[in-house]
Amino acid sequence: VSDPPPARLLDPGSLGDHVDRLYRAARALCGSPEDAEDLVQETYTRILEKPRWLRSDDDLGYLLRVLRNTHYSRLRAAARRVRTDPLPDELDRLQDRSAPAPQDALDAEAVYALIAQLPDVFREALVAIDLVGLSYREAARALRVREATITTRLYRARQRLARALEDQADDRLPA
Amino acid sequence: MTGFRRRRVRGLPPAWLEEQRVALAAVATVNGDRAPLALRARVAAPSARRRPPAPRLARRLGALAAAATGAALLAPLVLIGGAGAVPTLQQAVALSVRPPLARVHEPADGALTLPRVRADGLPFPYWEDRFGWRAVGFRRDRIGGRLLTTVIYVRAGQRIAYTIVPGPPLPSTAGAQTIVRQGTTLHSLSVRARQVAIWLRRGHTCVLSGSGVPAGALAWLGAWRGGGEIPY
Repeated sequence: VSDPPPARLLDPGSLGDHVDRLYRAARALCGSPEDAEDLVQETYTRILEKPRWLRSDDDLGYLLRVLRNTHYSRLRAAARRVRTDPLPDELDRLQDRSAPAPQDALDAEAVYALIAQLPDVFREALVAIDLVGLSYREAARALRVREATITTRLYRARQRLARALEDQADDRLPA
Repeated sequence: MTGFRRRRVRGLPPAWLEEQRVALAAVATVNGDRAPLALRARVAAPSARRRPPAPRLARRLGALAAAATGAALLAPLVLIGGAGAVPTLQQAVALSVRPPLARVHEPADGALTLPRVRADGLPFPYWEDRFGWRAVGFRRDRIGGRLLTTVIYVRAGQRIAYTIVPGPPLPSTAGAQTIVRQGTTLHSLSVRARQVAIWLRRGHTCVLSGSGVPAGALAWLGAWRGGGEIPY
């Protein structure tokens, strides 16, 4: 039996490298871009609150786990408090040259919405592997399940997503 | 893909495999999606906080020290634009369209300030009884090392946001019109189709912004001192 790998300090300066992947994961978990932004920001806030010691090189898996835990904490907190009504946003954002074209954005919006509707365990597997890009092993570690479980859940998640897409396409067909 | 997984995939009916391909193709449409610029700025940890890995013993000692000093070693909140950056008016106004993250409580009878919500000791006004603007919630964001507090008010489908930026006043903005109301000097301007009023309370910058709300109304609200109950 080998010794566990030594702990290393998570480098706060490198956290910004993962923001795109975490944002996509947050979009898929929350369904709304505004909630996703808040979730990512809160995740980073939590992580930066104190030094984090990791036993693996898998920063992204660790970040995804914190993101997921933060998401569920927010859901629990939201269920406890009175919700304020979302209000229309009328402010133009800064021009983002990396932003997708409008039609692509619409397509992405639809895909995010469908992913957000998947059951939690399937959605998490799909987010970890297909959106964040973790390996099966890293995803299993991040979600604290067996690798075989991840494989099955990912398969089911993709299957449900494909069928939801098909249903959506059927709905769009003219009668 | 591992050999085991590859064998399992080969054994699947073609229709099932096709579903997997369809799903992967769909996911690929969002895989180019990038975090918005504002979020990227907010989570950009300043390079000054990068620290080289320490030797193992030093790491253990460091962990003990870190546990003792807690958050003092690292910024407790996410920064926008690094610790040395000054928030801009545009950043403050951009917060006004973000959703509130916590509710505000009703003040005690007769009180003209909202309870529990303060920015560097400054309370926010309670406008509902007098002007009809109801405070629906607030949020806090750290920008450039400053903790900005924003209270959202609504009235008849309109929304305004009152942000207090603690610390030295924000840089003056070109093109602003100066208004004096009830002894308070305010600057009025338009930022990205939102009407904005800016003034100082005890040296801290206050930003009130709304869409479709006249500049005069914002100035009036900003200058209202509640008979002296709202500290200026």
